[in-house]
Amino acid sequence: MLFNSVIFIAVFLPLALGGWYLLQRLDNPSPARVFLIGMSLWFYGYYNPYYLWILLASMAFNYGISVLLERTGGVRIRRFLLALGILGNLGLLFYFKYFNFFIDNCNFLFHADISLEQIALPLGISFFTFQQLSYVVERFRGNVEHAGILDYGCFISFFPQLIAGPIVLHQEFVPQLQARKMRKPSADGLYDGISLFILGFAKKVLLADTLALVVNAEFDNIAYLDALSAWAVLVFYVFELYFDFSGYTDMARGLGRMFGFELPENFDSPLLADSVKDFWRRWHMTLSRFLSSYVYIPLGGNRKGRARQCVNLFLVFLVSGIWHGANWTFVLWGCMHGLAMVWETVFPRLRFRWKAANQLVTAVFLTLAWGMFRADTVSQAVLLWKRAFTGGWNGIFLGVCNQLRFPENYVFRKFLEMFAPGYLNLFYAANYLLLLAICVILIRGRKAPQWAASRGRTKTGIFCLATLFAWAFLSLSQVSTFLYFNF
Amino acid sequence: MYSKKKSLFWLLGLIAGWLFLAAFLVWFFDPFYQYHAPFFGMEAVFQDRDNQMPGSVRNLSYDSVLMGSSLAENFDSSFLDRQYGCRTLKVIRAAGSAADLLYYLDMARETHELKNVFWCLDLTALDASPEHTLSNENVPRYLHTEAVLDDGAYLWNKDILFQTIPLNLAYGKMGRNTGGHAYDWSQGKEFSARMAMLAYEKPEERVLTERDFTVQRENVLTNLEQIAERIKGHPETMYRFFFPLYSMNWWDCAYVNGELEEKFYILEQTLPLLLSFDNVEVYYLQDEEEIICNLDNYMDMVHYSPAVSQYILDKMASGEGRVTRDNWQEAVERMRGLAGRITEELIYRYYPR
Repeated sequence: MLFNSVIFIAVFLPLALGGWYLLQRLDNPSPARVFLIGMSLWFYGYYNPYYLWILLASMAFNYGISVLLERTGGVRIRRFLLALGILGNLGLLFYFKYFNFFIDNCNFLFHADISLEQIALPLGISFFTFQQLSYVVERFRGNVEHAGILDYGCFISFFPQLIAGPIVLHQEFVPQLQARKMRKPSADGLYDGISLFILGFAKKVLLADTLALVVNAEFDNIAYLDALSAWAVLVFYVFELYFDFSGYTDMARGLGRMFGFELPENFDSPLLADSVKDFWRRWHMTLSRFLSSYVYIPLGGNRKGRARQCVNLFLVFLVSGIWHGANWTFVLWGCMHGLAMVWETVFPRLRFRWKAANQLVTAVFLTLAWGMFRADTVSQAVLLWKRAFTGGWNGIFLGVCNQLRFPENYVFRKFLEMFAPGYLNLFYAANYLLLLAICVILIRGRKAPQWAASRGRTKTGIFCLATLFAWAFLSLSQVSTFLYFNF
Repeated sequence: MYSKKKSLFWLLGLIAGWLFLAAFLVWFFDPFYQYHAPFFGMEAVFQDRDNQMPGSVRNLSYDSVLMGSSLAENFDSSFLDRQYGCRTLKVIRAAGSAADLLYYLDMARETHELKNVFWCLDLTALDASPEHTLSNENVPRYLHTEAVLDDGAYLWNKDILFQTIPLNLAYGKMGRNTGGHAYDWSQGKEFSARMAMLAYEKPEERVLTERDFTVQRENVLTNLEQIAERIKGHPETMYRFFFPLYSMNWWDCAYVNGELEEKFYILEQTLPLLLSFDNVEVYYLQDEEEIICNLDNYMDMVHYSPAVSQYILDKMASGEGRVTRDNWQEAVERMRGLAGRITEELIYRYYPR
């Protein structure tokens, strides 16, 4: 199920919230937890019930490892269980996400003809696998208690974070689940949650999906782009990805608040970063936290000299790239970030004196790297870069802007088509610039939770929130999927 | 700053208000005629065939229907109103498959008594599947059900609010796609030999054997059976069938693809069956050589100019071109002869031999 769908907003959410708080009134918390798990499974299996078996099998496997870790004290057996847990999770991820990629590359390298399997990628598999990996490792380290089966089920399947994060840790979720104070609905939690959900909903539906009109059309058309239009498309893609993913996270966190949970932050104005290192402190923060805790530090982090630190950094970003998808574009995107991190580590003083200049350089690097991330193939990305630097000027920028045909500007478009067709291109270009200005203002302004806290309860704030919700809800006639679902 | 409790109250109230307003506007203007005919004497506008059809069939006022494919869209149905003293609604379906049109005909009969059915009968509509396609997953459910529960996608829909309603209002004001010109798409289109030839690149060779049309034969018989059932079931309704005037390119295309015999099979099955009923009149004008062999009347192989549409209506009104139980075979033979001359000779007025 999608957060931005009528079935979710009008049916699922009221049912889930109502049932959760009604059952929380019972002395025994188990029915409420069973209910929450049941609703989460409905949410997850809505489009494809087959995915449920994969999720349930993965949960049963990891819970089983935890049970065995609980029952055994021998170091060797515990190590074996840890290795089994890690291999089991990575094996699941490998099979569903990377098997065909692997076979494809083997076929290419060894001129083999191994046939590819028909494997459907289950939604959010990378997220719930990482979440469970962290649980197994922390259980091995003895940092978390063995969870009850219902607590564990709620922790993994909790629908707001199930499909695209944020990647929540056991130690930050289960204590909240067990706290008594969350058993009553509070106006505070509901209001904060609803306002954050609305802001995320609007970011996704009104902004990201509109930017996608240009991006999706022009990525199929790269060979015809000139330099200006290549940059125009790249910049829109960066904003689309950011508003799409941060909008999803705001919705997830808002939903968490409605149910009484505080989910971790995932974004901290990342497009204002003044270095790649700074960017990764602000972008997809829960993934960075995971990779730092479970890859970088175990590899030795910065404790074994500069050279080893550089290797570790590069490896972390290689893993990050691979985690994002089974395609060489993602691998290369990870490598680009890895190299940039190494560069910044080796030459920490090689920076401009002015923050704005550093921000600009970082933004240009990120934009080019996102081009690789979005492209279907490496050659498509290279072509896009070529167009961006050597594409010259052929006036196609106006054609790019012509993709901006959406219901909100329909009346103006039609009017110009009938009475002043000569001004149509100008009108579309103005639409592009307007959207660009809105994006820039939004990334420079307050973050959604801060805005909701400071302005969300004023007359204007409430009016804006209600209007944004209604406007976004009306836009659900054209539902799109989230970009981060398949990662 | 309000307290969070008060803010929550106001927020939910305002959201409810906005959603109510949006739903009220869609209900009031009802561009797909799902709930009612236009209020206050506003003119009904017909510019979105598939979306407007079910609602208009259910809720508008009429006593006759003009059915067909896009080839029937440019007919001026007000001419029929004047000529036959009726009030006609256009019932159009892309490709005009018989099963889809019968679906609409049945829907019309649930709420209306029909005096006349004018049916622009495509030959290709008869060999299409006899199952209607209006309940597949690509068709919005709310259009075809009267249940309120699935109407959310209509009542809270940005496209309808920001596009369809303003367009309907503007078209209504301009008098475009209203009255007899419902769904008329001819404005701004070029009807010329150039356009017609762009749409048909005549192959040099014809296929060696006629296409096997066993499946299509079954479809034709089932479709005709279903049409006959409706005619027999409603003797109070007068059915007037006529056939669209395909260009000679269409006939030549059928010939080079080995489908000509299939077309004549359809005609030979259809004409006697329709003519066996007393409440049926059939008009056959497809053999009008001056029209179909002049490609300036067309914009592609089949779509003819509004002048041709009017020509057909005039002929029908004056009773010309009517075939009977006694002379239908002559009409088919005339067409067969013309098709032969087209493929042998007439087509080369435009295409190199």
